[in-house]
Amino acid sequence: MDDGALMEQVSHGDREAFAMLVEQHAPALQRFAVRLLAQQSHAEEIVQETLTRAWQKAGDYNAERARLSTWLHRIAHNLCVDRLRRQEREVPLAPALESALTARETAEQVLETLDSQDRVAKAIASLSERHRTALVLTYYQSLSNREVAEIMGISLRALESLLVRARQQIKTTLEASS
Amino acid sequence: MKRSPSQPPLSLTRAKEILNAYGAEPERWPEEERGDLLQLLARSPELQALRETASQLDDLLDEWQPEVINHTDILVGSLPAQTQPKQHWANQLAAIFLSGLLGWRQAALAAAPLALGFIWGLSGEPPSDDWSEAEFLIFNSPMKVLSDE
Repeated sequence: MDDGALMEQVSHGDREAFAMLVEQHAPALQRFAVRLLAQQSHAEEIVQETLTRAWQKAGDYNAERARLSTWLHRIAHNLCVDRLRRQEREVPLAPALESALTARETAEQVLETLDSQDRVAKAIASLSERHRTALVLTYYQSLSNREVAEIMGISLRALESLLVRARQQIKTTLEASS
Repeated sequence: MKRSPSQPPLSLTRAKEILNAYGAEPERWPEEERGDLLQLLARSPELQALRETASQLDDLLDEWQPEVINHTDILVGSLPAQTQPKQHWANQLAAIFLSGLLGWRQAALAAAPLALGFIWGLSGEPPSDDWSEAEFLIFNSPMKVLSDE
């Protein structure tokens, strides 16, 4: 079933169609939110809120304007940005690092115990919100550069500039921690 | 999407920008520049080295695959009411106009008994022209009326 037909059914209150939408898109949205917020519990809330809004506003979706995936990512992105701006200005840490720090270990000890997945999570978490968003949407979410630029409300040149800086910074952080 | 004939060929500088921004995988490159970049890569050792460096970073990035928790049942079981889709302004105007027409019908229905009462009143005995009693009550104070009685 294509995006337009699916959302047409959802807009008429079809719960089975909505369940199909959730199964198709929730995993990608959840990974996006985890990578952006670096906190599983917050990410789950964002996904729930995103899909609830998709249910409520299903009639507003226009398949000619955007893929459903892009539309959902735009909602999730806006919610994540709101969440990040509400949070304290502290840099969000990857879950493994966060729990390790609460155990009062030194940074060196923590870095030694982290596996490479956690090191990548920490490196991505150390990026600014815009650099992180650009990287996560482009690299992990299977969206085109035009779709990412549209979600973020920036030009293609600005997106590429963010991506180059983000990749450089991650490389530097990973090299420093290895 | 292929590059249009009017576009200049992909420069080495642009090819490097693409690799530095999007990494080593062609599926992440801008669609319209993908073909040209692949051709350029085939004959540029410098670009091949840059792609190899980008590929190493890609491999590290690929290692972070967050766990996904399935909440479909919870979500579907706790859905709120849906909102009406946004209408085009012309449709909204038509809706207001139509609801206005319905309003007039209701008002007309409510006014019908009043009109019937008015007609009923006109068709009855004409009121008396004798105003003397009313004038007496209007132009004399209540105390005077009582004392006269």
